[in-house]
Amino acid sequence: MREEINTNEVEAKAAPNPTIVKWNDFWRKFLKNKSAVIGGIVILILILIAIIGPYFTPFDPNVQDHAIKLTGPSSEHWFGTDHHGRDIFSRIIHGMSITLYVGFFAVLIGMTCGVTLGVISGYYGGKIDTIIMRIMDIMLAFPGIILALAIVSVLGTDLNNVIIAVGIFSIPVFARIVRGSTLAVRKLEYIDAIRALGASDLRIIFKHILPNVLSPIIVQATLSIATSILSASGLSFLGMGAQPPTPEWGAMLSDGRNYMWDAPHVATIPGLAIVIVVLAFNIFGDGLRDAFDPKMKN
Amino acid sequence: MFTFIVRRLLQTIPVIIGVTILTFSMMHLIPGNPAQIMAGESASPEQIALMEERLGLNDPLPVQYLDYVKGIATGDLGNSIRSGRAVSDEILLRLRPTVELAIYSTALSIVIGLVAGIVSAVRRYSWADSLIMILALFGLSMPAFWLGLMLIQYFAIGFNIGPINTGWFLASGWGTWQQQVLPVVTLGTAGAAIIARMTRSSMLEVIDQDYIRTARAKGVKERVVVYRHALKNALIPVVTVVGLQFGSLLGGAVLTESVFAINGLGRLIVDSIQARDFPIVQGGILVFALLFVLVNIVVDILYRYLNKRIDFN
Repeated sequence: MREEINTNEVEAKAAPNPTIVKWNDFWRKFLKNKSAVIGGIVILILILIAIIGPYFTPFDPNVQDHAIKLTGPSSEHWFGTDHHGRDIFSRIIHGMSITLYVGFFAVLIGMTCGVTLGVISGYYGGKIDTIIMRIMDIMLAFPGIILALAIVSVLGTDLNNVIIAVGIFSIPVFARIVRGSTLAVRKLEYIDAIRALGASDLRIIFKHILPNVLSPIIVQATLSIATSILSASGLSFLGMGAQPPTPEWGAMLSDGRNYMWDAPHVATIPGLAIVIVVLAFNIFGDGLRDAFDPKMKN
Repeated sequence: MFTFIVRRLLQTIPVIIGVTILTFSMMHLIPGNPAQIMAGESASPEQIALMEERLGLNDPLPVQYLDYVKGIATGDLGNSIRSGRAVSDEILLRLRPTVELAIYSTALSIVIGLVAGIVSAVRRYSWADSLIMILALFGLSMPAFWLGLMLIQYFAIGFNIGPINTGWFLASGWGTWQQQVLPVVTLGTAGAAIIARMTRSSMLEVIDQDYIRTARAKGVKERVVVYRHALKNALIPVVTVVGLQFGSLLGGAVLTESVFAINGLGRLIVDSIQARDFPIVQGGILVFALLFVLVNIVVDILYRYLNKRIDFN
């Protein structure tokens, strides 16, 4: 995080109107980073699967057939069947959209609230800053998943509540990054000049501050999608999130744990699916960070 | 140093107050009447009225909050709905496995993370570096509960390599080392991955600096350069990460305890949410937060100490 703040200071100092130059530079570096490009492509494929996959699955994800329960992978059931004889491959494909939906919306909540609070905190400073940052400190005083558990225990066990809970606990991370970057940008002379020209606070924030803090926000958002998916699937695993028969991967894994002896594939496969999605976002996020970082030459 | 510790402790007071306000308001945010929830689903109106009286729910909110804080100060967190026993007793009973699990896992992740990170940095761009960084990326991307199940699959249920069966460890409970190995590995993996990445980037940053080049130019042995000059400075940001890690390990303990059927605090909270045993949930979450705050203080003091030593040098 500290690195990113410095990054922005450097960027902001370096260029008078850096947007175009910066994006060209960014693309050049990003395309050179092979693993990041692969991560990005995998994410696009996953999104595509989430959208059109459900129309092409060989079986209905919720149709039970107890005659074939807990059978291993075969040519008919590629990933085998679960304890109700449901086709795991079809359930994984249907679960893809749930996983991505959870990741995107949790981060959208965390990012929107966090960026707003961070900008206000960094831009106005003073008492508002102190109050907002103290509240963030208090939120950070709860280990992530514990705060989510507290929120879910109040709101009730449901997938949407898990999204809200996971979103809320990622607020402080965004707020801190954006506050730091905003502080660095606000001190620059050209912001004073724009203000002297009569620009309103909102205009300064939207036209001059936010574009400058965009890169750390994008990087953090990508990495947060990865952690949000992990946390949300964890909460579903604990029975706090998606309720049966929803083909949510964490919940599927939780079903599978009872059959580790006879049919380990029931728990193994949804876990692998989670690993692939999270890995893609982590690789993509790492690549974005390197591409945005002016210290990384080549 | 002493004034620093005092100041740091004073700084925690607003955070602790905030934490207690948050756990206090949980009770009032749940839909429905807290007295109804505390008295149980099948309570009669009289019992509910009695419960309202006992919980002081008719008092103004600030008075209720002060009562709550007074309770915390004297170790009175109310009674469990299910067992009727004091929440503090229930929590104390379950605290030990969770704290042990978190400490062992932190230790494991520090050892593995540091060694891997240093090897990676010293042999930058070698196959060892690539391998370690790929493994670290996987470690970050694996759900701990899935890793736990896979470890159970391969090292508790086990499989046969010739005459040897790999079911060396036990898949549930906490007490003997056979029970502890798998949960500790499960929980420590993500931490090791994060620490390895942090150590690597921090080491690389230091290694590129002028004074390291000077040391090398002076003819100082490479080993001395790496361990005495570079590592000491590179460790500072790592300490902060370790501290944050301990917190997320405490959180992760919830999942690990569930996978390995460990009777710890995390599992107690999860079970209590499902049983709607609210006083336990409230108390458990408070204890988790207080533990985390405590760890952060210790980390800050350690951080300061490391910094000081370097300043002196």
